[in-house]
Amino acid sequence: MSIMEQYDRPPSEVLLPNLRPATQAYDQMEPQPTYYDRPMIKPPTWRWYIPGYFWLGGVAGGAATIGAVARYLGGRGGRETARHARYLSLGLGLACPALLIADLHRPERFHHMLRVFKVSSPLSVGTWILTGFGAVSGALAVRQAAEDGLIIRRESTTGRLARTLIPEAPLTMAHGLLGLGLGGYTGVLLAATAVPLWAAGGVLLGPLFESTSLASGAGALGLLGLAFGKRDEASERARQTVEVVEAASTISQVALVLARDAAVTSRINRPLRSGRWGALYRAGAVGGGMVAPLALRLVSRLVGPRAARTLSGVGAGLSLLGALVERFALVEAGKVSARDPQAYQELTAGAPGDARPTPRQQALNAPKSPAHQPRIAASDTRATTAQ
Amino acid sequence: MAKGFFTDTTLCIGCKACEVACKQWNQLPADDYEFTGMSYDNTKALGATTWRHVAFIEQFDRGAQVNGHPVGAHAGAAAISERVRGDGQPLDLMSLRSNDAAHHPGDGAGPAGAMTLTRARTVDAQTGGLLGDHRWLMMSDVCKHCERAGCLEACPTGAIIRNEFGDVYVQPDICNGCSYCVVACPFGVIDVNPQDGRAWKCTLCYDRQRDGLTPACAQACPTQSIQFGEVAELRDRARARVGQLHERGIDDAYLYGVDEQTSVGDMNAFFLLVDQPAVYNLPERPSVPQAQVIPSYVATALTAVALGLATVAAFALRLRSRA
Repeated sequence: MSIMEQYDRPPSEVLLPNLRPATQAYDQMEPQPTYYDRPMIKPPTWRWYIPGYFWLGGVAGGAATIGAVARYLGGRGGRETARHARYLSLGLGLACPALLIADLHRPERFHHMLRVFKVSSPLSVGTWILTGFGAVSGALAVRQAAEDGLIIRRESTTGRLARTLIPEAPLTMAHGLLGLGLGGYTGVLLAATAVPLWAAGGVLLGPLFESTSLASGAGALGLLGLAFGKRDEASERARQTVEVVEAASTISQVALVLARDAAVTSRINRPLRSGRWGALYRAGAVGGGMVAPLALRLVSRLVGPRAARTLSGVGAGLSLLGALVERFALVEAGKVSARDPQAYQELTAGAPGDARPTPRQQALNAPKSPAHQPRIAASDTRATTAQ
Repeated sequence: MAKGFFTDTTLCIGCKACEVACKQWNQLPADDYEFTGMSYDNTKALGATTWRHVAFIEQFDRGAQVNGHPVGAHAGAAAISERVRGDGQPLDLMSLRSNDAAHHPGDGAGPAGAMTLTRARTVDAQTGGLLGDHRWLMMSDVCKHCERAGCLEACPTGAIIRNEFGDVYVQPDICNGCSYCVVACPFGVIDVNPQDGRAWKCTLCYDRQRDGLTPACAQACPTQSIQFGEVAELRDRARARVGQLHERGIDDAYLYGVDEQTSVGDMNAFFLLVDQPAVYNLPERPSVPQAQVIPSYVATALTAVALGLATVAAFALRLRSRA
């Protein structure tokens, strides 16, 4: 619409383009005043690297945790799962910092992240988690390679040194714990922002990301198990146990998605209920990435072992892709909600007197001394100027 | 002793001298030349290269309603008048509307979603507005230099600090442009400059303050709408000003950023407003995003423990069932 056309319309229509009948019917809240419908906060400037990292970091963290448990409780098949988890987290542990650094606007200064440790900043906490995770993943992958005779020959000097100097048990333990941190902190990172879609019900975002991390990590390990695992009973048993973990995490995901939908009011959650990202979130992340894998698991009990293996693969792949869709939809829908002044006002709504004394209270408390009357003199602003 | 700004919007004439002085002193590049067509405000918002922004609020036909509700910039005047006069003489918008009802017989009961605009030109006699039925509000917006600053708490490099004047300052030689502060500001102030890849906002003229000078915007302001000084003294002055305005019949005057009961707390740069905060594009009850951090960590840790134990149980039980 041209500027002149805007001037021809009544001011209320120019000022309130969001009050069209269709949107008004959508939710019944009273329209709040806005400043020409301009955003009240800045939308995130993050590019695709960030949701991409949320996905890969979650997969790596979840796989590492499951791998650590499988290594000591999963028998011979579990050791195979742990091997897959170690190589996977090495690869993703290299990709994740690369994505994060690529998104910095001054990538050559990435190491400034390592100047401080701030509990108040989930980004700072996450930096240290990722740094630790990368270091542990690297050490464990080297040890694993020495054991497998992959690149490093088992009985070479390097191989012996790797197997004696890298303590497996404490590092595997650390790997599992750091993996849990890596999977969950990203949700806290989003919750601790002013973006309405992330901040509202934000306390559920960390748990949701944690669950997604384990489900997608299990999905990745399931696919690796199908592709590279042995076909014997021990390996099958470990792979099926990973599937149980995947199902448990997916059930947790579904519960948290439902809880979040119930907790977040309609206007704030609008980008996830309708529109492009809403459709992707509903159909892709929740339908395809959570409900479908659970349904396939039920179906696979009714079919023969060959078909069950195929269904397992499809379900694991869907979990993995659903996590990708979930991260992108949540981040992009957050950008949409940040541009909506009505959503931000809903987030920051308060009754008169809640946030600060009402005008009447302020007037009653005002000092009466004439000494406090403002002096309108040019010399006043120059009072602090050096003589 | 913290230094800050008291921006008295009742004195602002919208000359934008503060915007120009800020750009000039801080050598900030020009923004685009987009003509918004919405008001005299073509600056639009604070940003990486705009550290003072004069908002223009044009309130025509105050008391206009949509389907019985006061709307838009108009609603602010109505709502706050109701708030202020709630005990004495409530603003009777309904009776004003019923005068018009003959012309809009279907109003309120018409087809769902139909928009009916009711003009109430006489409303001003009751709201006690500044300029008859219409008024312009101007407000020179700036970084609030919050007591608990979201950007500062979010910054993972320690680039954002509180300086010796008690103000929030981004060290340009440290910032690596991660952009986390951008989403952590409850007022949408700080932004990343894509040209140089760093986050920028008002420094409260840190360099000028170090040399004992008044910040450029306050120095340039021709009406003392922007006053600079010790925050404690400015607050006293501002409270007295509220009392003075109320004595003169401007019942809507109040301070935003003083005696705050929010998690953000008081602001070193605060404002005297005469309409509800949303009219000026300010949140009614801002909260610092980091208030969510500890509960979120706890909830995430509990989930991690639960799912971790579920994983352990799954493997332990499977192992046993084989043996």
